Amino acid sequence: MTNQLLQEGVSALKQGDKARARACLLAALKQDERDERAWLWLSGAVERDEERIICLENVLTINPANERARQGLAWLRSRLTRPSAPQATPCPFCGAPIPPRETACPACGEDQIVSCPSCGGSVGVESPACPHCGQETGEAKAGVAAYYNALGDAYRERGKWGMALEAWQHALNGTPARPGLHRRIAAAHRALGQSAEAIASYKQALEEDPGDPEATLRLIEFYVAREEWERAEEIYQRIKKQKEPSSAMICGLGDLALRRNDFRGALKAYEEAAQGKDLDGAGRALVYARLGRLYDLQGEETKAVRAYRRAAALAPDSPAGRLASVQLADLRPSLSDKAVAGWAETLRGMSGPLLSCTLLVGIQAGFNLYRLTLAGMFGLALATAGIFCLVCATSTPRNEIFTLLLGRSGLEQPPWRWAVGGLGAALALAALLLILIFA
Amino acid sequence: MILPIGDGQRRYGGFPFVTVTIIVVNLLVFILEVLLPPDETDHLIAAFGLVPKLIYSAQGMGAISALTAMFLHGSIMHLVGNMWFLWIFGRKVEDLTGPFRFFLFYLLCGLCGGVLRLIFKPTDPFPSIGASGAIAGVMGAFLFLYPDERVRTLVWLGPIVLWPRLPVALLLVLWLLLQLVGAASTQIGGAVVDYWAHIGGFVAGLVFLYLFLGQEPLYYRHHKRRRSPELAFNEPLDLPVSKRQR
Repeated sequence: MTNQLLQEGVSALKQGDKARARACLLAALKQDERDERAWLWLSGAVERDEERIICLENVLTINPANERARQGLAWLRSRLTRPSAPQATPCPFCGAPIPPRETACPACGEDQIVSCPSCGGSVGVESPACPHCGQETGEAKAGVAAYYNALGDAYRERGKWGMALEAWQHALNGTPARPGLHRRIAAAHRALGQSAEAIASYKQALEEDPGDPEATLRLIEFYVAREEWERAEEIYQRIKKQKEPSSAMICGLGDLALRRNDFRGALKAYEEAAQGKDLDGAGRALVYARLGRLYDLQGEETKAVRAYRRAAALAPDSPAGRLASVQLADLRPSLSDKAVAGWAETLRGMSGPLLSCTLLVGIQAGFNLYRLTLAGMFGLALATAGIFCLVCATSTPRNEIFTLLLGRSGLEQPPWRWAVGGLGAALALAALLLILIFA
Repeated sequence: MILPIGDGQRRYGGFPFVTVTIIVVNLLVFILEVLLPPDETDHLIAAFGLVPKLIYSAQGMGAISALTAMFLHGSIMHLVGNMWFLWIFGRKVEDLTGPFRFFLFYLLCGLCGGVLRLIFKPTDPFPSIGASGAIAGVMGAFLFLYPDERVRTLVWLGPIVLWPRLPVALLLVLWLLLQLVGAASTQIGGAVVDYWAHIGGFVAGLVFLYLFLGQEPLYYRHHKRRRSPELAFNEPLDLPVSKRQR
């Protein structure tokens, strides 16, 4: 695998695709950081001399006898000590020239070097990926906002909300409003516990896109938390007026109804949301888990079990799916071996129907032993066999007899279960007819 | 007048298919009885009702009549009264037995009611009809399963109408006492109501219900629910992601 990545990196470098080469070589080094060749090739893929020096130093740390690295390092160091002609680069934000080695634009003051969200190393705003760890940070050339958006996303994924907020605000300052940016900023404020700022940003997000479900629902959430019912109600009414509110929105309405102790309204909303086809598995699992909990609270155990089962099946690894599994195990714990394999359970299941058959035979004979017919007795024997099969197929599939005949799982396998169950039903029916007609 | 009008609180299972089916079948049979000419109806009742004298003399329909009698009724009030009690008490019993076992249990209680009549009135030449024995069994089962339950009851005492939630034990024990008194009086004189069938069915319901209980309810009734982590509605959860939103 490492070799393959190395080969890919080398061929990319030979084709002049330095970004891809860097990514491949960094990936190879991630797998084996003592790969001397990868470090050597990486020195050719990185942009700055300082980085090249680091790469070559690493090569020499691994193999002090590497002559090529030694020569390259000596050449780079001599070049760095030589005074070079100043070469200005244009600022991606304002276009003013920035002298080399400056980290901020002298005209607009924007930072030209940011810290990598993954490893914390310095990354130039023009660089699409961190030269130290390969973390993708965006492409300034394609637009400053896109770069900062990507950078903010990378920070968010690592839970660095403060840095993400800073990056997104840069994106907001540099360009006209981009869709979803206010929502991202609001999410960062929310994560940082700055509710007033979050509300303001969500409102701005709604001004940009009045149908933004997340902004709507989060606003409701904030208003509910602050007990500003009138404002929450206002948004609620706005959603209701929408022609086709998304399932997520409907689910949010359910949350709002629930927080207002309107169980019926919440149930209705969740049921509607569960029918929506625009949710992914985890979303649907969440809706079903909530439905299950509501049913459970209302004592509708069967419905609760059904909802929990669906939630657990839709997204078993999601938090809602796992929660549903726990609730399910609580509501319907699996039956003990004694209950599915024991003779006591089989006999209990058989006793009732057999008693009914015996009474029928007794009534048929007028409770007179001398009037007991052969058909009646045969009918009882047949009923016993039939009821035994039926009880084993439906209640005690791991009965000793069937585990001996069919293996450890007994009648738990569907074909055998159906066959034995069908045979039992046929025998019991035949026995009943025999008793009622011929006995 | 004292009439239960609600079966209390939560039910364990889903729709009570067998309870509803039994009610529908009884209703259909009664409609048939009404549609037939009076003579034919009498013949029908004589043929399919349970007649102790015929059973002991090995005549008539035999054991079949013990089953068919459960689906015949003498009047609209007889039918409505029985079906009302079945509806009130049957659903929660069916919940815990499951539909198939409930049907067998219902038949067994009806048979036991008939058997008690056969024992105490062996020479009775009159047909006995009605689902009372089977429904009394269901009431016995209800008492066995939910002795602490309270049921909404309509109490009508002249101008006073109340609907308190009375303990089911009080209600059903009172009902049983009335049946015993009624049965004792029928031993002295004649009666239209088959009290022995009621008592037989009720006792059968109490005694035999255990044999018909479904495994899961039987197990879960003894299984104490542990405290589970609840879905905290008052805490923000991640919103479901809409596909359109991506």
